[in-house]
Amino acid sequence: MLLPAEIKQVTIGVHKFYQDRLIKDLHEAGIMEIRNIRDSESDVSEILKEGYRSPELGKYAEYILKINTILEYLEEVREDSPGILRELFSPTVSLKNPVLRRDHAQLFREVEDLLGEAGDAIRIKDDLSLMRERCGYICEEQESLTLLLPFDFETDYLGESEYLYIVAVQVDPASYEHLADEIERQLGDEVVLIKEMVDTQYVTIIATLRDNQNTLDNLLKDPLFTRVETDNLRENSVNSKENPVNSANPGGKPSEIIALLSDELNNLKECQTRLNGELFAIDKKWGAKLTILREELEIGKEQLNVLSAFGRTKDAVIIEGWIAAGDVDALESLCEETTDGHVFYEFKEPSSNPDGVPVKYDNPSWLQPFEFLTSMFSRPKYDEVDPTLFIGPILIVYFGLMLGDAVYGLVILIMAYLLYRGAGRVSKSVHDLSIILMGAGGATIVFGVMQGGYMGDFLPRFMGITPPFIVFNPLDDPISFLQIALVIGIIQINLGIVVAIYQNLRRKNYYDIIYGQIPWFFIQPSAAILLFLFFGWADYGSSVTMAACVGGIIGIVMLFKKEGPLGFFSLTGFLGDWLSYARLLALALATGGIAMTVNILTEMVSGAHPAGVILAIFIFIGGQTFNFALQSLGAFVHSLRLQFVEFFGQFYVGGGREFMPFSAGRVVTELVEEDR
Amino acid sequence: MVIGIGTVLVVIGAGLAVGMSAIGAGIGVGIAGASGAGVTAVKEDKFGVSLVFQALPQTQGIYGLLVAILLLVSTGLLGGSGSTDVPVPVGLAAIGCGLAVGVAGLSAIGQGIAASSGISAAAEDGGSIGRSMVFSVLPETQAIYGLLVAILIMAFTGMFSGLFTATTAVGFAAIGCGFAIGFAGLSGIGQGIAASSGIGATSENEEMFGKALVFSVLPETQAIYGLLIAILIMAFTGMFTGVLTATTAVGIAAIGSGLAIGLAGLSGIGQGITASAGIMAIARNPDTMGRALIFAVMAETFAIFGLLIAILIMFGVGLMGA
Repeated sequence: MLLPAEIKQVTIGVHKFYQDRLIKDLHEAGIMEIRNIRDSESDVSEILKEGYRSPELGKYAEYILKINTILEYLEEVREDSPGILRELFSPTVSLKNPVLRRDHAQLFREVEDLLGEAGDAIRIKDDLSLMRERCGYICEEQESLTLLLPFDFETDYLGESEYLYIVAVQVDPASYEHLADEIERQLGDEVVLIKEMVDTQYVTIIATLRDNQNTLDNLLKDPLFTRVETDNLRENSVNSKENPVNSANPGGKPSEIIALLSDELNNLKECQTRLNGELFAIDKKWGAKLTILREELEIGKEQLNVLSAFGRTKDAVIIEGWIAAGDVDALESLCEETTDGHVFYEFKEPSSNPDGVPVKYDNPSWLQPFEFLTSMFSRPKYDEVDPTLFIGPILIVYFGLMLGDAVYGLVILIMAYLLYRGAGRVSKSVHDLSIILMGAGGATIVFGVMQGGYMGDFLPRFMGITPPFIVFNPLDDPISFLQIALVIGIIQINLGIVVAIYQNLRRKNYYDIIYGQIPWFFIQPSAAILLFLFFGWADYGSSVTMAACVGGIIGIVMLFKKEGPLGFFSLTGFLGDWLSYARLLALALATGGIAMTVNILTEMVSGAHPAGVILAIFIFIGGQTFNFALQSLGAFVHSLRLQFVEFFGQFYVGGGREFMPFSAGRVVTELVEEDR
Repeated sequence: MVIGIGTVLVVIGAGLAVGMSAIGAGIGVGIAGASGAGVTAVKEDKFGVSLVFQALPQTQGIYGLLVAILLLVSTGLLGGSGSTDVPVPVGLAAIGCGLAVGVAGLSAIGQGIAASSGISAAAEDGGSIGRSMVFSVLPETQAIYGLLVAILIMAFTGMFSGLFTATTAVGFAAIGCGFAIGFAGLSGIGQGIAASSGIGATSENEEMFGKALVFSVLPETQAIYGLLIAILIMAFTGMFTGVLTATTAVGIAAIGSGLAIGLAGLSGIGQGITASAGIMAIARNPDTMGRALIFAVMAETFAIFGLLIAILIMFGVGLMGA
C-alpha cells in the first residue's frame, strides 16, 4: 500500500509442443508482462535463434480489416444512439458471450462463413456510394438543364458538329453588353446570339462556325461568363443491377431530359432505401457475431505477435517478463497444469536499477479508485513511495472543506450514486470517479453542516432557521478558518517531509535526510518561536529565544550546505507552500459568498414586484447551479493542486513505467473451458 | 435617499469592481474565443468544448459584478430603503473592495491565454481536456483571492449587516488590502502564460503533466504574498476583532504596504514567461528541470523584496506591535 507491488523477474522455458497452449493460458490469465528477450539484459539471449513471425499474422490482419469495414458500414444504419444522460445513468449492460477455444484454422473457417453471410454489406455499401454520387451528378445536370428550359431545343446541338460550335453561357445583365461587344469584335458576323432571362441572369446560346471554336473558348474564359455544362452524366454511370436507369444524358429537349432524370432520381432513392434496409437486416442478424469474432481475431493476433518476443532453441521456447510477487504461485500452477509439468521457471529479484522495472499499484479496493489521480501526476518509480494512500483521503477532506455546503454535497452524492449504478457498471474509470465523488459528496455534507452552508445562507434568509451544529463559519470567523487551514498545511507538509525521510532511509540516502529534511525540524519550531516573539504574541525566556536562534541558524546552515545559495529559495518556497493552504479558506469563502449573493439577488427581485417571483426563481436556480458547478470544479482542482505541488514537492518525483500484463482483455466474449 | 460622500465612494468602488474585472474578462474571453472560432471552423464538434474553455475567464467578470451588486445593496441603492447614509470610512473600504476584485480580475487575461491553448489541445486530442482544464483553472486563483479579500472587507466593515463599524484608518487600510491583492493578482497573467505552455507540452506528452504543473503554479506565489499582506493588514488594524485602535496615519501607511507587495507581485508576469520557457525546455530535455527551475524562481526575488518591505512598513508604523 505504501509502496508499489513487489515485482519479480521471471523466465519460463517450455518445449515448443506446449507453446501455443501456454500462450493462450498466459493471455487469459493476464498476470505476466512479457518483454522481448532480445531487448532485455537476458542471460540466454546469446544462444537463441532469430525471432519468429507467424505466417498466419497476415490472415488475421486481413480478416480484422474486413470485419472492421463491415461493422463501420453497419454502424451507419443503426438507430440513433441513446442520449448522453441515458449513457451515463442507465446504460445498456451487454452480457459477455461464451466462446470456446479454437485453433487458427477453426477460427478462420468460422470467419470465412460469416463473411460469406455478412460480406454483402461491402457490395451494398459500394452500390450506395455510387448511387449517392450519381444522385449528385443528376442534380447538377438538372440545374443546368433548367437554365435551358426557355429555349426548347435539342440539347444534342450543344457542342461541336461538322460545321458549327454551339455553347450556352450564363451572364449577369450588367456584363451582357460586354459579352456581345467582345463577340462582335472577335467573331464579326459569323455568330448567332439568342438570350433569355432566367431568374436574374441572362442565359445566352452562342452559335458560330466550328473554325471559331478556339476564339470563342478563349473569350469565354473571362470570369464574368459562366458556361452551362450539360455533360455531367456522360462519365458517371452507375453500372449496377440495382439501378437500371444509369445512362449518360439521354438527349432531347431540356424538359424531356429533366423528366427522365427525375424518374431516375426517384428510382435511385427507392434503391437506396431498400439497400439501407438490407444493411440494417444484416446488422440485426450478424452485427453481434461480427463483433465477437473481431475480438477473437484481435486476441488471436496478439497471441501470434507475442511469439516474436520469445527466444527459442531447436526445441525449447524461452519466455521472459515481469510478474507481481503475489501472482507467482498462480503462474507456477498455470505453467504446471498447461504443460503437464514439462516446464521450468525461474523468479529473480529485479536489478538494483529501478528504472526498467514496471510499476503495479498495490492498494486495497477502497483506495484503488484514487490511483488514477496519482497516475495523472506520474506513476511512482518501482522503489518510490506510492502517494495514493495519502492523497486519496486528504483530497476528499479538502474538497469538503472548500465546497462546504451541505446541499451541494447532497447533490454530488446523489449524482455520484446514480453514476455508480449507471455507467459505473460498464466503465472502470466512471466507477472509480463515482466512488471518489461519493466520498467528496459525503465530506461536503459533513463540512457543509459544520460551516452552516445550505445553498449559502438560504436557511436563515428565506426560512428564518439558524442552521444547527455550526462549528466554524468562514464568513463569520475567517481567522479561525485560516488558522485551521494553515495548521492543516503545516501537518501535510511535514507528513511529506516524514515520507521523504522514510524513502531516503530505504534508499540509504542519509545525506539527503541530514541536509534535506532534518533542517526543517530545526527551522520550523525556531521560526515559530521567533515570529511569536517578534510580533509580541508570546513572551518566552531568554534561554528559549537563544535556543530558537541557534536552532534556526543550524537548520539554515545545514540547508545551505546541501543546496548552496539556492537554499534561500527553499526557505521562500517552504513559506509559499505553507501559505498556499490559505486557499482552503479562500474557496470556502467564495462558495458561501457567491451563494449568499445569489440569495440576496433572489430576495431583491422577488420583493420588487409580485411578478418578480418567477424571475427570482430563475435567478435562484441558475445562480445556485452556476455556483455549484464552478465551485465544485474549483474545489476539485485546487484540492488536487495542493497534493501535486505542495505535498508532492516534499518527496515525490514519479516517472515509473506502468505494468502492462499480457492480457486478453475480453469485453464482449468470455472463454468457456472444455475438458482438454 | 441621502447621497453623501460615503455613498459616492461606495459607488466608485462598485465601478472599479465591475469595470476593471470586465477589462480582464473581456480580453481573456476574446483571446479564448478567437481560438474557439478557429478550431470550430475546422472541427464543428468541438464547439461545446471550446465554449466551456471560453467561459473560464468569464468568471472574473462575474466576481466583479457580484461585488459591485453587493456594494450597491450595502448602500441601499439596490434592494434597500436607502435611508441610511454610508459613512466615509466605509466608502473608502468599498474602494478597497473594488480594487481587490477589479484589478485581480485582470488575471482573466492569463486565463484566456491558457484557455486558448486548452481549446487548441482539445481539438487535437479529446483526451487532453481534463488536463487542459486543470491548467486553465490555475489563473482563477488570483481572482478568487481578490473576491475573498473584497468579501472580507465588506463583512468586517458591516456592509452586509448595515451596522457600519469602520474607522477612517480601516477605510484606508482596506484600500491597502485592495492594492495588495489586486496588483499581486496580476501574476495570474504570468500563470496563464506558463499554463498555456503546460497545456501544449502535456498534449504532446502526458508524462509532462506533473512537471509542467509545478512550473505553472510558480507565479502564484506573488498572489499568495499579496493575500497574506492583505489579511495581516486586516488583522492588525483590528478589522477581525472589532478593536479599531489604529490611527488614520497608520491606516494610510497600510496603503504603502499594499503597494509594496502588490506592485512587486507583478514580477509574476516575468516569472510566468520564464516558467513557460522552462516547460518547453524540459519537454525537450527532461534533465534540465533543475536549471530551468532556477531561472524561473529568480523573478520571485522581487516579490520577496516587496513582502519584506511591506512587513517592515507595518512593523515600522506600529501595526505589528512595535
